[in-house]
Amino acid sequence: MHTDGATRLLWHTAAEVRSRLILLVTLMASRVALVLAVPALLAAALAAVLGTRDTTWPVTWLGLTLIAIAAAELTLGQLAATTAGRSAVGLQTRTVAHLLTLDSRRQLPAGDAVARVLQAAPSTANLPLTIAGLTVSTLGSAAALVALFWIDWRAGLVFTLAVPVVLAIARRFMSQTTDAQHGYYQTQAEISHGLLAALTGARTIRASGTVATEISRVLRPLPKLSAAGRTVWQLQRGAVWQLQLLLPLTQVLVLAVSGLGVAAGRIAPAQLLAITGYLAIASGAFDHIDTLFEIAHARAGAGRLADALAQPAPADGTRPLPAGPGAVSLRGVAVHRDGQALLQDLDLDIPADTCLALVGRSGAGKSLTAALIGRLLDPDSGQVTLDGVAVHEIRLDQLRRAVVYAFAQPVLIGTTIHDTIAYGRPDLSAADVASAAQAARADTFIGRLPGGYAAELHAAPMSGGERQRLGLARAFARPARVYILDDATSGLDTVTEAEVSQAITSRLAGRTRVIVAHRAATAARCDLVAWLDAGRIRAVAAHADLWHDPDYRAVFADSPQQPTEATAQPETSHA
Amino acid sequence: MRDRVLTTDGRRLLRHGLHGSRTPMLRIAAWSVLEAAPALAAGWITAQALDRGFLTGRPLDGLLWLAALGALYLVRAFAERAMFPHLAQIVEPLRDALVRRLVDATLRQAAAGRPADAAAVSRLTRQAESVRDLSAALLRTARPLTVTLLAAMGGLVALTPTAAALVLPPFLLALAAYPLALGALQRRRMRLLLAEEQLAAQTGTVLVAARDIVALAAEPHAVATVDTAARDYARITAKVALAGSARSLLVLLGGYAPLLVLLIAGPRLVAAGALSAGALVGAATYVTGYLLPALQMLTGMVGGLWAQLGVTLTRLAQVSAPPPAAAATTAVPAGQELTVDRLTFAYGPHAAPVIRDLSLTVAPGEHLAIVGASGIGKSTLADLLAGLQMPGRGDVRLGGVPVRELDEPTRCAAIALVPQEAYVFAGTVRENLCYLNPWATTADLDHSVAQLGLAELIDRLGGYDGQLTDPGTELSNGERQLLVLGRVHVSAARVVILDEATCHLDPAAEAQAERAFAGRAGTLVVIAHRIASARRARRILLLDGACAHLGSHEQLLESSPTYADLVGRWAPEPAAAGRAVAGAAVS
Repeated sequence: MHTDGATRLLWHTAAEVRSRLILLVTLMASRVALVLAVPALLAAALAAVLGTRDTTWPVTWLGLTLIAIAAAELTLGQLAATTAGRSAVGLQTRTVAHLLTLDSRRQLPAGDAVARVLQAAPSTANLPLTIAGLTVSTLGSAAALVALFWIDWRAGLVFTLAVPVVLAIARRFMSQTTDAQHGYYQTQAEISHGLLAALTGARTIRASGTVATEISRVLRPLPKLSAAGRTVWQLQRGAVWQLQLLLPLTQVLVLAVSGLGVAAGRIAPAQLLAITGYLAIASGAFDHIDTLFEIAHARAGAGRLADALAQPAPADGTRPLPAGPGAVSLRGVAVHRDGQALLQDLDLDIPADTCLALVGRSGAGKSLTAALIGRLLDPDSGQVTLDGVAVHEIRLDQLRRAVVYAFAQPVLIGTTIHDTIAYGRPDLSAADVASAAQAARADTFIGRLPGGYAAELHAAPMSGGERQRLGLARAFARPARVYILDDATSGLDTVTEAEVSQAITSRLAGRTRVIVAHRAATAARCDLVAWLDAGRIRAVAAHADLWHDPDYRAVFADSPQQPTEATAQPETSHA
Repeated sequence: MRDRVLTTDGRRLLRHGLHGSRTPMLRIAAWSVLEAAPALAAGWITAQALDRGFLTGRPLDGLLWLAALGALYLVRAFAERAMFPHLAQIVEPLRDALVRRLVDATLRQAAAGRPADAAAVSRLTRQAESVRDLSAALLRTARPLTVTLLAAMGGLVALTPTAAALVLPPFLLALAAYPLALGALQRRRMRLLLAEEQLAAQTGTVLVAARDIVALAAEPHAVATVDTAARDYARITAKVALAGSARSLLVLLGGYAPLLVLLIAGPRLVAAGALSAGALVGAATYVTGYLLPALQMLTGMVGGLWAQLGVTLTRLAQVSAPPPAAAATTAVPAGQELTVDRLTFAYGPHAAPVIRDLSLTVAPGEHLAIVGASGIGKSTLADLLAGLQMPGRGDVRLGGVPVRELDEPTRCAAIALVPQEAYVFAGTVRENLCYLNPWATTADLDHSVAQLGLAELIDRLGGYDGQLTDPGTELSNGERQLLVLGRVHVSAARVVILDEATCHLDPAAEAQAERAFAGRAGTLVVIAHRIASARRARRILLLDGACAHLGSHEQLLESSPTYADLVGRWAPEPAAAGRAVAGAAVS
């Protein structure tokens, strides 16, 4: 199935540039045909020289052929580069676009995803060309061998006899090297593994002043790597000198046989040049043994790419966004991961224009529930609706413009600060961005950056709280129907958080707000609290009403030993 | 022009990597002379075999000449065989030097507070590896190529100066023109590699931000940025191909044109007796068998390898520059009092301070807890206390000496900072426990193990000499934290800062660990993950934005709504949360 996917992907890639590929193969074939003509023409020209005949025509033909070869190579190089480039761009863009559609459960780790896009896509795009090139040049080598037989069958036979020996040497070398290379790569992986492991302890190492110890620990396998490298050299040495001897000796033998032919008058002396020429073209086939390995490697890459592309993307809806105030409803929702139920039988109604807090212990399913509304994740069963229409029926781009998120750890992306807040929304004006930043209490620190909103994102060092505020501004800048703040104020101090809460109340008035909250104060500021417990709704009520329940209060205290102390607290009321 | 491909830094790095390779290089040069024998003699021998053998009715002599050629090939094969160990002697140490430099720089940068991400590390290791492959390929192709070129030209001149006079000038001209054509090509190749990095960076940025991009419905925009980078890359690929096509012209003019000239002039030369038939075939052999392929290889593969090597070395040199060493005094702290004096810290010159005007004194032996919401700057304060960050204003002093000014061994011996992410490395349990105190005896270890309740875990790992191969998967988060706590307990540090270092322990284990540290000689600062942990401390420092409050549990409960909220007893009165909390806390 793995290879099937790879084959399909390759056919598909080839089909996309079909006409260019046909042109390329035609050019390659013409070039090989011209190259095959050269030794014969050269011999003819030389024969004319030696026979002191008029050399005008043979030399003209030879010259024209050589010019034609150069022209073919020029065109080929250019065409091959643009064709492969075009395929690669298509594949890369398609893969990135596809990876972006996958929901959080199917997403590949970022490092793996990047590797697939950057390594597998270009080699896959190149593969049809590589295979075509290999086929054409192998056919050319075969034709050169036929030409050898044609000029002198003895010469052809001598070369043919050498072929199996060369192949045997190459084969033995490849199988031995595979093991040695494997050992080499393993040791290499050991070192990078050690380095990465040490990096996870960067703060410890820094605080302990043990960097020298760590360096020597990471480098401990280096002598082993060196030894493995030398083993590969050793194997290469064996194979290379044998081939270095065998091929020229074959050439000498062929020359000897043909020299005898010259002496016997069977062959004209000028033909010797044709024989060496064809011999070189025929031996060219041996250079392609490496190409076979490259192809196998690239095919494996294509398989990995096909795997990534085969991950099913959530189906886009067909209905337009329904008109409505932003009422959200979840019915009988369940989400599983690795056979474990993360959400179960979850029913929740979020009336329009309500500020709802999602609270619960960590792992209760708060973020998961929040993710369902904007289809960052689809439930395994049950239904989520927005203004009466199931979210999976609504066109995704429209749904996600209507449901906006801010996260606890926003990944900021964009060139400038303005671009970061307005990311993907060129229609937002500077005023929109500035007012959103002000609402998120990000305007002050942005104002202090050199260049303000035009400051480069990467050049601006920020604390976790500042990043969160940019993430909030990014959400506030977008007009939407439902705003989901997934723990998006956790890094703010209480004063700022209260100010941001105020902005949420005033700026987002009339919209539905869902706030994943860890602080009691945050939950208290919401109209309604949905209390999640082990993937189910435990209660939906006002914070003040729930506060009577010691279990509810325990949600906000980190330690399980807390409830006894908390009961002593007087009752709270909420305005 | 070449300087652009291989910069001064890159050249310096290469020289550093090749340091000590002089002997193998000389040996290789010596063997190369033998290796050149066939290239020197092939055309000449072919000519002799024809003129004095096959063409003059003496086939046996012809065969003998060819046998001589075979013998020369044998010599070449032996020379090549003999060269391999010397090649390995150059290339493997080069790789070793690069890997050493890279590991050194990566870890030193991480230790200076700038840890590289995993993707960057794997890119670097790949690049070190590609320097090995590229230099090996260059040594195996470019070197024999040069030798072959010289030998074949020499052979041609010796065989027939007349033909050489016709063939060599255009050939040499092409060779001389090559660096000019190469300059443009190499610059484009360099741009290609940069475009490739740009594409990699863009793709990485987008894929890492996948969740946010999807949530913002900004996929089209994100995909467009990748597409632009990919198109740029493809465009430059085409340009490189175009610049590369100049080489086809060079080969045509420098290699094929002389051959044609030889053929055109041939009849007259042969007729005039200036050239024998064999010599003509021999000359053609030199051109088609050696000079032409060499020119093709040189302009194609070798140029490409050289550009790649240059760019890769330059890149590696840039990222592996060792960080500057910090200046330190030789002052020795007098006592263990930890004083924080008007400490202010911000992440950037323009960012709002995370800590503002904080002053407090922690007496020797005291147990202080630090609490606050996540992201509020607790770990930053821990770093400042341990001397890992440079304060913007004010300072942290240990025994009267600013911690930033203590030299590293003194500072690290005095203050142990234990971060949340417990670092346990592959090695024995003992190595891990003695990490901060290599002189610890088994009795010292036993004492700490008993205090922390570690005995069960250590037994399970096979005692002190039990081997850990992959602690990341062999041990749970909590077990790793326990081992690290053991390590710090064994150490001689008199100020211990636990930065949520017990967050993966159950409350009972956490209580035991904190009691063990409180009972140990020295000062204990705990950044509390649970409020129960804060309650064990005599004094609690509450961080809330740039404000800070210091007091006992009861005092803070009374005075700070933030603290009450943290404890989980949010009190009513919504206005309280909005009221600014007064300035800095002073001990």
